[in-house]
Amino acid sequence: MPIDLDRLVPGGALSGPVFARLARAAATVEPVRVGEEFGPFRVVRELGRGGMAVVWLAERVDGAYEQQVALKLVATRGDSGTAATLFRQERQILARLTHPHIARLLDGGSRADGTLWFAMELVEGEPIDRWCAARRLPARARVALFEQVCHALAFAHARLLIHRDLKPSNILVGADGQAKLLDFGIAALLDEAGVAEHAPRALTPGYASPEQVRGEVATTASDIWQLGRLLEALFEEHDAPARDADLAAIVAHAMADDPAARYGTVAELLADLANWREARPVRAREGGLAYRLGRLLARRRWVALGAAAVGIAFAVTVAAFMVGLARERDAAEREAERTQATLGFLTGLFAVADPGVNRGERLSANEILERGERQLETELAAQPALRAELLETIGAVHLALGQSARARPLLATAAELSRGRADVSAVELARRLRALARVSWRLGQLQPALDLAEEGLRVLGAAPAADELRGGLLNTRAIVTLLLGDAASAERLQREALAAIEATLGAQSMLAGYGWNNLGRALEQQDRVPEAARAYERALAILRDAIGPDHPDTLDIGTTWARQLGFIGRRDDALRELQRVQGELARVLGAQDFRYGYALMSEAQVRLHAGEVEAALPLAARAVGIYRASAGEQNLYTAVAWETLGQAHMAHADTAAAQAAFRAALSIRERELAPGHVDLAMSRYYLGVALCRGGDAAGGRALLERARAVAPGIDGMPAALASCTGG
Amino acid sequence: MRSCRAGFAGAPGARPAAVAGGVASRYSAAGTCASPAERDLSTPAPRITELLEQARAGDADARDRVFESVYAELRRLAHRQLAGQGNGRTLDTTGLVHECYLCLAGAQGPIRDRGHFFALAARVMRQVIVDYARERLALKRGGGARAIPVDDVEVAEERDALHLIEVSDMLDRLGAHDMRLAQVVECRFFAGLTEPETAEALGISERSVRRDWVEARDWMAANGA
Repeated sequence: MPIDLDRLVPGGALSGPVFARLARAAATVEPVRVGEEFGPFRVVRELGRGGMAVVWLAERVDGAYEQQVALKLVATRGDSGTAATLFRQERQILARLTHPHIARLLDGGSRADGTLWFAMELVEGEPIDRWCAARRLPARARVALFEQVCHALAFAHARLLIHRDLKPSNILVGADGQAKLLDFGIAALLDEAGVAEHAPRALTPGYASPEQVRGEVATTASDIWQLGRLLEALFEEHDAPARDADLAAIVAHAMADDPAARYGTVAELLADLANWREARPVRAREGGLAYRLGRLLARRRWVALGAAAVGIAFAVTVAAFMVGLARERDAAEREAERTQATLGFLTGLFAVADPGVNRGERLSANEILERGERQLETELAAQPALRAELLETIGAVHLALGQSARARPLLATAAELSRGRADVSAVELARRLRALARVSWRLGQLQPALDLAEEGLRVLGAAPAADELRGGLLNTRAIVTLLLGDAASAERLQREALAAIEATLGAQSMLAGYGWNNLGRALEQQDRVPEAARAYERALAILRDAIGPDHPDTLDIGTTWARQLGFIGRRDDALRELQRVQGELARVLGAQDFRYGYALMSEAQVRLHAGEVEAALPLAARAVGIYRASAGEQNLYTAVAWETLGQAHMAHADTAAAQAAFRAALSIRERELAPGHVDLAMSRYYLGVALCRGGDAAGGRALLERARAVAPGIDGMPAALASCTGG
Repeated sequence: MRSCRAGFAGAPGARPAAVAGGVASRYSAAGTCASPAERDLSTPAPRITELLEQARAGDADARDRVFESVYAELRRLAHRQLAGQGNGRTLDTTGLVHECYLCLAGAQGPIRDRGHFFALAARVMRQVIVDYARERLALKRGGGARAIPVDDVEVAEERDALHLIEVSDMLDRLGAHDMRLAQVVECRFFAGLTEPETAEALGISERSVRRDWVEARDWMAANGA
């Protein structure tokens, strides 16, 4: 197109419609002011800025609890709607990214002017490279810190998330020496939405992989390149210890120009770092074997293929994850054959994700998984063992995404295909049975869950090197027995399970921790509260070490323990612990998580127990709101929250409100529980009492009678029935 | 509140000649620049002079930060300009750009090399505008929903965007042939600098600016098809 000389005049670029629109777009963005609110947060002061983003310190608007966050504001020069939509879609996945080395993304949204905001866990620390330099860390300590980052990344990759912007300034090391990875999901989100496309800082100079520089889609392989670059950077500063040849080889292998020539998964990189630490030969230097094998099996060819053809990172990530899992499990001699078949499957998966095949639609992770599932049915019909394995793998992806209902049929088919097959080992079958048992339990299908756990234990028998799996199955069997209403048997089974776990895995093992928690619940159910409190305390002590003090499960058990303290008269201790746990939960999971609701509900119960009626009611009401929104209207835990609210209303002598709450709890339990379940009887009892108090003697009495038929031993029953005759 | 002119007046090496004074009085009323409170001085804003020097030395990060400062300032000023108007919102775009330079220069303290600042700001302006043009074009073409422009405004915008990109691409080629000619076009066409400002930016005489401008246009006409 020839230049239009008439328009090539001084100031010409500023007088056309493009600049007018740019100026107008610019005009719609107001600077951030102290006190301005973003969602539930209010900004306090600026923490830093760089590129197109500014980071502010922010705090909760409602002051309901202490929560300070880092609020990252990203200016967009186009339509931020896509990014906001994508964020809503990915929010659940991001919210589940709970890992000790990942700063959690808590919330996000867009301001009216299109500025995007992201609330992140506030991390105080120094960038990893400066941390290492300031302390003159020896090589091993640097690698150990780097490994923390690798673990975080492996965890995220297993959840279909890639980072895309790893660099020292995104990794802070706190005073406790723990590294935390910032900005997870943000770079990816902005990339996907295209809002950062022309932003000058969309790529960090020196930290973008060759394919990112070429403008291709980032993949897990790009993250691995960036990890290599990061490892290199940790040895770059002046006084850094010398990097030996093996470490240099590891860096070079991770940073190979060709994505297909890098480590296939973060786990492989970690394995090689372990080789380095133990002074074994590193794979990166073997040249021959690994490279030859990798090439021969072409097992990673799809990474490159995916990057070129797919146009979505998710597909690549899913595939990388699946192959990674498949290979780690495979016995070496079977690998060649199976990998070939796996490769065929994955290539097919990419074909559907190819815009040329699918008319350019964007596929979500779930759509890709669904297509993969359909494909497994048709293409691998002749190879049931391999099909079972891939089904298990896809099921595991769904589980990692928190999608139990989607995982269940896949795992059921995987187990079904594996039963009675000579080419599936007892351990493989038992592992699939356990996965299925756990997902059934989570979905409330308790009897099938119990049957599966027992089948798994039978199949496993005395198979060697399967202690972890066996211990897990024993725990599952005990907890499901308890949920089915048989607390005495559950206690016996759990004690047996604990004995086996302690003998094989040790008294301080993670499974022992969960076992003590289960035992506490069985004891609590039998009203042996002081014993239960001791069991919870023991579980806590173990899990604080085994999975970390701010792991959601540890915090959850903290809540349970504190509640027991409240019930045995230690109100002050209970409230102190509950407030500590609430603060941690709000920080780690945010105040929308049902575990936070559980902590509020427990505080309500402790206060009710201590006669503090006024304080209990609002806590219970908030807990119900959180459970309904996060666990679901029909969830059994939501029923417990309703019941707590009902009790708080009763304590206020507001029988009408109490009846409504108890009715809500009862209707959930009627749907979800077997007719003879003790919790159902308790629900009828509570509603019965509330009806009697409210003057409906006939209705109340009918409910009390039904409750008594199932659970004759309810403490207040005789008194309730006696007071309900008057009408 | 600090005015733009105060910043300039104190700048050593800045020529307090007709150029600066003239521009300031034409485009900038005292008070349009951000006050210290608005800037939140608890975190020092990047020092433009230093960043410019680093950018000149090839530091991409510094260049990005200059870019960011210019864009943020543009944003703030445009907002202010529009805030006082009713629905018939029109922007004095050229004035906006000048104000933007002045405020950045003024608020950041003395700028050692005003000419260089103008030159770099011109490059930033070009990049901002061309990036935005590409974005608009990509949106129209890639968005799918509306592949065909629906009204005259959009037709005009698309043509403008194409023209801006074309000129920018051609400047790259012109730069390979004669860097200074390309810089003159950058300053005059993309940044709307006056002849004296352009002369100062490039360290040449105003007469050279006039001559280069004509020569550059001729080259582009001859090599454009």
